[in-house]
Amino acid sequence: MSNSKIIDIDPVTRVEGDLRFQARCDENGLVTEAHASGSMFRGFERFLIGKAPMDALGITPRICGMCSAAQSYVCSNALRDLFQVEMPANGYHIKNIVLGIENIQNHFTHFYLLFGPDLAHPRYEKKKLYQKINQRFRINGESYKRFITLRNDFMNMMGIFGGRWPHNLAMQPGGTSESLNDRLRVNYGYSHFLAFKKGIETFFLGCSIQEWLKIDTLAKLDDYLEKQQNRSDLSLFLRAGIAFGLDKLGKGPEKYISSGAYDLIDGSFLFKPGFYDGTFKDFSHQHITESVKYSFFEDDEIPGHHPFQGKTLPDNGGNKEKYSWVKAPRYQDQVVEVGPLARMIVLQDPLILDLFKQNGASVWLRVFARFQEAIRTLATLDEWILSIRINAPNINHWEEVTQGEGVGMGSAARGILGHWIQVEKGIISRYQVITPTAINASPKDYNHLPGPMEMATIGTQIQDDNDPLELLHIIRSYDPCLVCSCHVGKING
Amino acid sequence: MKLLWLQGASCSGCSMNFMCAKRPNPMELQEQYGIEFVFHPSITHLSGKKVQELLFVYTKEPIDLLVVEGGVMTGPDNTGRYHHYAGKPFMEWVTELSRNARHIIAVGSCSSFGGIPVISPNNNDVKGLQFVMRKPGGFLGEHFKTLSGFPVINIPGCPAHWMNVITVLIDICLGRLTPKDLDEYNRPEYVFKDYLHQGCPKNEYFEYRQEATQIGEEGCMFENLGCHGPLVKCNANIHRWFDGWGSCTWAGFPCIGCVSPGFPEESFPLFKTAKLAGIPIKLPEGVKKSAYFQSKILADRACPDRLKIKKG
Repeated sequence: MSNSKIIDIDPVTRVEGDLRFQARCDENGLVTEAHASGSMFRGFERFLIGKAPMDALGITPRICGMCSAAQSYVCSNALRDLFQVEMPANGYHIKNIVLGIENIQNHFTHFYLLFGPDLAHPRYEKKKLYQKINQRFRINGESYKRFITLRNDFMNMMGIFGGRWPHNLAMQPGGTSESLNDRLRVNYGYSHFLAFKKGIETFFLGCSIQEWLKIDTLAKLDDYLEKQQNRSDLSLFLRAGIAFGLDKLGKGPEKYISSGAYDLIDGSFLFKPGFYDGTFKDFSHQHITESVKYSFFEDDEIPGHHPFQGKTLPDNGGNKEKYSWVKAPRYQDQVVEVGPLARMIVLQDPLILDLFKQNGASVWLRVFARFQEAIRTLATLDEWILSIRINAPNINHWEEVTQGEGVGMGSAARGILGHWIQVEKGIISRYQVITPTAINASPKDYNHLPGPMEMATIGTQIQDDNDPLELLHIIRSYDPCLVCSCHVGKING
Repeated sequence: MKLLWLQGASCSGCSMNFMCAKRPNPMELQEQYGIEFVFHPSITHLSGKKVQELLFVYTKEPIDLLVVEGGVMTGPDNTGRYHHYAGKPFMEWVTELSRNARHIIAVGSCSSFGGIPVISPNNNDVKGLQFVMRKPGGFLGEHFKTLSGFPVINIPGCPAHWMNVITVLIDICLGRLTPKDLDEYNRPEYVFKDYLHQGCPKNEYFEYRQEATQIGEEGCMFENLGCHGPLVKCNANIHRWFDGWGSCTWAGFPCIGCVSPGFPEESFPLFKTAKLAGIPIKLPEGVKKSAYFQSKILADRACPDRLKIKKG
């Protein structure tokens, strides 16, 4: 972008990893063009080539410190597919518990630490709910501090079920590694869970999870808000979010994909996969293509290709059109959004779908859907913990193979995650990863269509060029994690 | 004391674990010890130009504590173009800020020794601050010293355990840490003194040479499953993670040596012990092969029935 009226946010903070965001505005202060630039490149897939297949289990979680368990989960799925091994019931439960803890924790951490403090921006000082917001949601505010304490107790469960976090190796191709025939550990884990659940019910929801999940229409939501009178954090956010105009900001592509979240033993998912573009359709990873037209990689002969055919080299920096280390994944050539909002719409969660149909997507709905997913996951985590059978196996033995391929799909907090592994002569010949933020924070593609997050900012009215709060709201509503996206560049496919 | 936290070629995992700190948690670190976060990418009101301005201030004024998480990316061709941050190559910020730092703390294996991104072929030319794996030098050079006469203080781990990070911060703050407290890899020796083997729940199996052959099986993981417990200095089985509830071997998977300067390159292949004539090539430090072999034969013979691994 070479025009004069350009807003350049370098770096965008309170996102994970390194993001630079530039927006061009017209004379009325409306955004006409936007560039999301992932500004770091590590090339993970390159170092996996030539390693033993099981080495991927140690390396891939380290792609990302926030969704490390999701990477483990998906990598172990890819290896399970490669080795063709079944998992015992406990394996499913414990993997889902570990992933669930990480995702729930990520969702709330996103709000309290990364997104929420913006609501306490002095710009909203004159608004009605500002006092309360500032008291609770500012950095080191009441709710901010309380959440950190609550979270850190909850994370003890990660010690019990995963050993450590981030980067544990408890998730294995045939199940999980813990010896949970120690009843004490499971019982204490459950107790930590109950304490966290109680905290969320008391401070966040202001009612029990069961009661909350009965709210399935906009009308019932209004009743809840009326009853709460902004006492609970959720009700305060929902009301203030509308008062501050977040429901009219950051629409995005309004097309969504989900690869399904939390594998269940019968082959189904807790949150089903699908594609929504106005109507509900099936999802297949075969429709994902990647483009590098605006990414710092040498152009391909084929403009958009499935990750399995990817051949990519970092460019020499000479092409000024290119602006990101993130590639541009598309679904059937369309710009699609991933993440909790996508999962809740694909799932047809009645409340989120009702809100979406009435008012469309927005920063407000994106944040709300993240909460909705966290709460639904919390409700199910309870069942999983109680379903663990003490003295039953957590893991099945597998035989390693020297030839073959495997696909693992799953859901990180921020959206779909896929790993593709190919093995020849006992070593990895190709490893591919697609991360959620690579989709949401992608640059333009070969059709010159902007990525979801870029698209969400176009048309936004910017009040103050020197403090583009609107852009920060929109960017942060996606909970971008550039750590993943840009670290996963490929060299020589 | 003012603390400024930068993230280089990292996964942010060390920050994530740091946020899990219980007592003192990051907020209490300020209340109790006066350690003030002037900047952390995830705990700040500032964005964009204001971040650049703030960082610029500390290229001119001293900063008490400069924490670096993640390696320094110098590629391609020493341009640093692979990692751009706040208006310029990240490596330039490291150069400029390190000149004015009283203490530099490398949090995690990446900033200490290069870590994950230096896995060969290291085509992005990532460096630890003063080491690349075991080789002294790194980005700042072997002889680099901060304003207070320290080399970069390394707190490795993937991630670094928050307890180790915080205890070192506190000791610096109270003036109790001296350059003499650091070992040959510039780690505070009192933190990296014991081997992971200390406190391992599988120690009784090790004693009687009951060795697991598959993950998830009872038994020690040293001889078959590539466990680095007796090989690396790590206190995670003594302090453990999350209020004592977890550690690698407590959760039943082997240590892959993530605190080691040679991590991960020296740990491959993971989950497999390299052996010669049935004996692990890498033996616990200071143990002779013949003595190890003899003691293990006796140990196996002495094994009580209750510990014997049921095969199959």
